[in-house]
Amino acid sequence: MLDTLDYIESYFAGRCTDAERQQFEERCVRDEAFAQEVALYIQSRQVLKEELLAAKKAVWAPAGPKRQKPGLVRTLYIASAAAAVLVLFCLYLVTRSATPGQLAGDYVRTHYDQLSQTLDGTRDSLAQGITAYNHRAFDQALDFFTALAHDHAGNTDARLYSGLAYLRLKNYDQALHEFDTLANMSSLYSNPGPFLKAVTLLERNAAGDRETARVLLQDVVRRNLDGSREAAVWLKKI
Amino acid sequence: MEKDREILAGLQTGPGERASWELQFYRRYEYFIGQGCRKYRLSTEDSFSAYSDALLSAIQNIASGRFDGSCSLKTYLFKIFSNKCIDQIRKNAMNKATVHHSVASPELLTQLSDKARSAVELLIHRNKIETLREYMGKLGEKCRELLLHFEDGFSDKDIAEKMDYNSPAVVKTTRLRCIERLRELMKDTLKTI
Repeated sequence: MLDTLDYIESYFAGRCTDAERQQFEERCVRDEAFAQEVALYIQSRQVLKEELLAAKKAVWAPAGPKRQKPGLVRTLYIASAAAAVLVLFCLYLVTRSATPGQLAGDYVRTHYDQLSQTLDGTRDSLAQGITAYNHRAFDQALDFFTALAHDHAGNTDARLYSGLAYLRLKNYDQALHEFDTLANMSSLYSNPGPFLKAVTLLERNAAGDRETARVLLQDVVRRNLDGSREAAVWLKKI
Repeated sequence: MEKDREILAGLQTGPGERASWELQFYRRYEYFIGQGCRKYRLSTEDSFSAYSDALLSAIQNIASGRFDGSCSLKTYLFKIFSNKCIDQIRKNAMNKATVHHSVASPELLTQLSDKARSAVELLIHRNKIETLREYMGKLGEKCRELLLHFEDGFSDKDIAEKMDYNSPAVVKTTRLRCIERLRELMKDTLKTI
């Protein structure tokens, strides 16, 4: 029995190889007695966690959580709002004279400097690609994203991230290809493909790019797609 | 940022100083509780629970080296906290819809594959967790303390130092025996075919 418990503990501690994990999971399905041992182990850990959390709360906030005074919160909100207005005004002064290429570049740096990561970035190729992207290893990130897009043609994230990685590497032709494919995927509720195509064209700024980008941005605004707010602002500047 | 670096380093030192760094970490982002109330419309108590739970998860990940530093400590903690707030909202919604208090799905279940998870989850719902809680209290203080240190993310080596065991191997064997004792206590109530 200790061996079984040690085996179960090793699985949840992440000490098993992929093959061992698979064997463990298959055994849960075919061996109910074993599944019961796993269920009991999981529930024991759950109860322990509840007790631990109660103990931590008693140390961290023995009198319970602090309640914030409404006056202080209101003051902070007003101060934040005033600061936000000031920042926006400064941004307006700075960006009104920005070139289309600068607008596009700033947008990518602001919105796609880092990709959202799950807590455990080790398990699947998308997460590994994101980790590489966030460490600015765009070539390595592309290996993961393009492989995933190849194996799962309907994976919109893989297509989006491939395009972004190409864009960061200034490989505009490939970026446009990825965003164009993304734009033609009907499964997305709000498709960022057309707007990102426009961003790529503005950054590349080759002959005719600005005009093509303008048409794309007008379409984004008309259809209220992802990026429509920026598109409406940029159309006044380009 | 400097303070965050200190907290990160402090949490990764040995078990002796960790409690003090945990408290500093708690106080540094305690204002999240108010944000949880406003953004997710949780009561102060629920937001506090979500914050404490998030903090515990973050501390365990940091202490075990699973936090890779790709985002700031604040962003990391807030991401976990947001998820815990959403879990709390779901739990509150479930509690309103059922007569008895519902039990949230244990986190360890998410590590299993879909098929394995279904097989194990069925058995979890059959087992009476209230009985398990009661029997946990009958394990004895030493077992309970050892298991809580383990759940807190301390290694067998750390626990051996803290609790004066001869070696990490003895800690491991003792811990597994504690769980086996719990299983024996539960034998009559376990649902097996």
